[in-house]
Amino acid sequence: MRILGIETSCDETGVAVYDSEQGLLGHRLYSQIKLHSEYGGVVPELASRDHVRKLLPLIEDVLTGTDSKDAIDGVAFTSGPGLIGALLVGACVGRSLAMAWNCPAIGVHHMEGHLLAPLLEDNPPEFPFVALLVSGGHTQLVAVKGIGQYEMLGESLDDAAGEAFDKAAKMLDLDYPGGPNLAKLAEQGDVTRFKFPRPMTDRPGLDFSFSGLKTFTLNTVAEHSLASGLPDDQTCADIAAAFQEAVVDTLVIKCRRALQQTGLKRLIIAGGVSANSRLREKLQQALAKIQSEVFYARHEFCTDNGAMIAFAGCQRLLVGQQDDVVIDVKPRWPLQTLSAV
Amino acid sequence: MSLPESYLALDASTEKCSVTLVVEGRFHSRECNIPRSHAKVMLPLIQELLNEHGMTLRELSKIVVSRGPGSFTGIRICLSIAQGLAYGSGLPIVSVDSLAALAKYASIAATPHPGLHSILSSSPSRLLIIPALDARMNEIYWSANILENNLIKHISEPTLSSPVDFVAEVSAIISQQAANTPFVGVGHGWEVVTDQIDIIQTKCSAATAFDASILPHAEGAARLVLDEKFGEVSEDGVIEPLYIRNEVAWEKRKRIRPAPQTAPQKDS
Ligand SMILES: Nc1ncnc2c1ncn2[C@@H]1O[C@H](COP(=O)(O)OP(=O)(O)O)[C@@H](O)[C@H]1O
Repeated sequence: MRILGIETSCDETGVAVYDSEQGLLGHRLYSQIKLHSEYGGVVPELASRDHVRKLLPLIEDVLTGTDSKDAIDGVAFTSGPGLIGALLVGACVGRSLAMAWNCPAIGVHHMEGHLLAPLLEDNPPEFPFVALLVSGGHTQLVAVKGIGQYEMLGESLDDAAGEAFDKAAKMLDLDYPGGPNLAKLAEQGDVTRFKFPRPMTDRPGLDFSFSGLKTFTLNTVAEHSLASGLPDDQTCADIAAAFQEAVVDTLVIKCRRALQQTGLKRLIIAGGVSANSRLREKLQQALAKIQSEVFYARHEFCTDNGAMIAFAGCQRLLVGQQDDVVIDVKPRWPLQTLSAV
Repeated sequence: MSLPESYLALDASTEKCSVTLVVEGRFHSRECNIPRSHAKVMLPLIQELLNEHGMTLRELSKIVVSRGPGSFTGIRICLSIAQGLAYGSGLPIVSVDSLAALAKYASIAATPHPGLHSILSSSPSRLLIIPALDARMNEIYWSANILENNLIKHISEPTLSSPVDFVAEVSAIISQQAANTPFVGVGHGWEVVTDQIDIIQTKCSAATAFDASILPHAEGAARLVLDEKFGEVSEDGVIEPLYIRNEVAWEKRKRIRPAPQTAPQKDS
């Protein structure tokens, strides 16, 4: 079964073709980062405008490049959670294409897309496993028995990890999206100079909270700021390193705890923050000590992309699930409400 | 003799969403007036019409869309659906502006407002039609059109104005080009200036009528393409929405460090 996947939930237009027999045949991504960095964050109306401009040419490219123009058996599109106007563009184009092609279509949960992305790699983890979903909008620990069988173990009570990265980056006057830029700056920093708190790690439970860390960062920046309004370059790097270390340690502690609590031996990390090298490195070290393994997607499939949507949609379409012609996008959509495959 | 072509027209530029299927010169329409339901209802309405007339998308010759101005989200829903259907069926897309579609629809409206009805039924040789849509933020999208021999002709392109400018510009158009021509104002943009309509009426010596309840309709778009030969054809499905409002004041970030020379961009 050959599936066209479309992702437009936020600021990336992603398109891919995945074949259940042959694997991923092709994918393209148009990122709006440059557009939004002028504003220091995603401007929803501008995001929607860019999607409607870019999506069809991207689809044409991918279909031509994979020789799939008359060979698509189903269409998968992100139908939530995300920005409503952005979601609508992908869902309307995707659902209408399927109607014209007379093939089934399915709306995919964006976080399920992220969660299954490591399964696109060569040595995919077997079910069951624990998933750490860490993106711009979500920080969740989920016990995964199979596709669509998700038990929420814990989640952020306030900011998502990616959001915390982005806000801390903004305090250091780094460009949007701050996560990767802050991580880069942290490489030059001395991680021992500042000691940031590891929120909610001294208590039992698997929930997260990053807003205190945000305040701590803001205060540290203010305390060391010069007349320019920023600390000197080395101090900025040291703050970046201390911040990253605090987020990473917090995530690692909770992941280890989740594995111990569930008795599972495999962890997958997915979503934008799973691209973070320090997180990957420290998780590997920590999990090796408890005879567990960590899996993640290649870098480009950590952040939003069409491949994960094509893959997740394909799994559901293969068992006969599909949507009717009523296009229904869901800006908010709890992962646990999905049906099992 | 070849049969007249069959095609589909879509409009979702306001809270009204409408679909028209043209078969053998006949216009069949469906509409829905529930705000924020356009994405949900549009494909089912299209499917209903196609089924009812035993047609498939591939038997059509094109898809006509209103590309704005109007609700940003509505315009994108309409364009995105048209793109999916057209690309998937190998059809061209023809786009018209929603204000022209509104003017055209008003000129053929089956059950118009009494004032509008009496002007239309007198079959004036020339009629000034000003479609206006409420653009929120106290502004109005509008254009000026002359109906002559049942054909719409733009005399001013779609634009965005404050209520004060709108009233002044419409008054000027009437004084300069249409003082003796009957005049009709349609669309909910007129609700924004209800208290100033008398200013406009005093400029016009012929009959005037206003109906704020008439909104853009797919049938107007469908007829414009047939009668007036309006519309821009896109073979590859790429169409630029007509937002007009492009300068919404999104606040840019303030930088402390100088901006980098080249911003990073991934486009694999
Ligand atoms: N290397 C990195 N280190 C830390 N955060 C990162 C890194 N790369 C991306 N991010 C963060 O990931 C988020 C984007 O992830 P993504 O999965 O695309 O988000 P969403 O699905 O919520 O739109 C942003 O908050 C970004 O700052």
